[in-house]
Amino acid sequence: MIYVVSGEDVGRYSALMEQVYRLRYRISAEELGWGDLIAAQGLERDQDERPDAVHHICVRNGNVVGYQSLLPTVGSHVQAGSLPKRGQRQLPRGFDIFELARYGVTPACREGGCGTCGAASELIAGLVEWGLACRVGKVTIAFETHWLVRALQLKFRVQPLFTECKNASLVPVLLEFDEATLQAIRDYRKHSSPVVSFLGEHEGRRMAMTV
Amino acid sequence: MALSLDQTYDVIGKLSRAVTSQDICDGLTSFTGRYGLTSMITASLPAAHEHKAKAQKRHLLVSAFPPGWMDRYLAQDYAHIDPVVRRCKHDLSPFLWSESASFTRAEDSAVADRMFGEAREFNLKAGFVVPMITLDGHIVALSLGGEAAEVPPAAHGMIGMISAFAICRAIELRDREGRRRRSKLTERETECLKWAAEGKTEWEISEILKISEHTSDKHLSNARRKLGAANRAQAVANAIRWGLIS
Repeated sequence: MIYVVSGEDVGRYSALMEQVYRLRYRISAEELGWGDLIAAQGLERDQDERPDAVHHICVRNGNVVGYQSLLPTVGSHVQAGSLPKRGQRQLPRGFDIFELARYGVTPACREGGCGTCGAASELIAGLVEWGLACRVGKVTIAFETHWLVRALQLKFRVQPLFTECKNASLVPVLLEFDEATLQAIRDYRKHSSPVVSFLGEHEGRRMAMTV
Repeated sequence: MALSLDQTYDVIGKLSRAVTSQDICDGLTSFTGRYGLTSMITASLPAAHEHKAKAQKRHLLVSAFPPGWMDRYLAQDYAHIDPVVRRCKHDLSPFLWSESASFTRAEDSAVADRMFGEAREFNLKAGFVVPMITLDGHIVALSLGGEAAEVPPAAHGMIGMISAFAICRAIELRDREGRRRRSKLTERETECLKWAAEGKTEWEISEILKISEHTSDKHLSNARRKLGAANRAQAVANAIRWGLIS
């Protein structure tokens, strides 16, 4: 199950969010070695803790095993981002475009590439379900190059947002999706039921879900 | 030297519309040629036990290196000593062939040297590789080669991006061809389906193909059965979806 929590409701779901911060810490500090997080007492919070952020939290047996956060590309909290740089396109912005800002899955739940019911593919299904329910059809993301074929096979439309890029393994792209994408993901997962549950301020979206 | 984004979208469009392996090769090398990369192959990596050329050949999605080289490569079972292949199993970042030297096992170094020497005889003096993971969890690599590879680091990402479209299209074409073979549609059945997709009735199809209405009905009924369809509309839909008719 993927719980969708608004940035405004973070305090209301503090126990759930604390698990998220612990997962983020484990990945950021312990796996990726981001040294400036060492003193954060096992919790990782950052500038993404904005009221307009959207948190997608994958829970198994009461434990948070995966997480992604999305930020709107328009609105009062949007900062002038670091893009565009040389060779990069103006970062697309719009009410239907969000930035996939954070993503992580606990090591035990990562797919070895061929798993069909893991947290990673559930987060992908959750992203598209959430997007279709909230009229968001595009996300910008710094994407690992070797996953591009999978994204295309899942019927995401992929547009590069750069012409030259210093890091060949992580490229900025725009991913566009629709009902065909959701169907492809569900076919791949062999799981056709919705995975998203809207909490708090987002609960009204449940009514809007037509997928 | 870098493409504008509009030019990039043109190349991606060409690749996405490709209907043959040659189209894929032409579309990709129209972009990579500027870096000295003028030919390509893409293939999934053979398993450790697959040593025979016939088994390894099944992994090829597009084979467009200079004529003769892949036959030599497969006949000599180079895939199992090739440091380029070995690196793909350990590191999924795009890389130059020359950056794979450290993946040569000591016991393979003489054979690897021979392999690179033979490749040079086929004008494959340098190259660039893009490894990817497919939906079924396999590693597929796209290898570009040529007389020289002058690939600035800032271009690695774009070559990786465009290669993903080439690999995806190659997989689609292979799967489509597989479905075409498995469906075992005859030429006549395919023809009848094409006209059915145009909205023609059995009688109209029989007039167009100069066959009896009974025969045209029989062809469509066989096509329905072969495509696992409940009715004519579903048969047409399946045939279009699977690329059997367009």
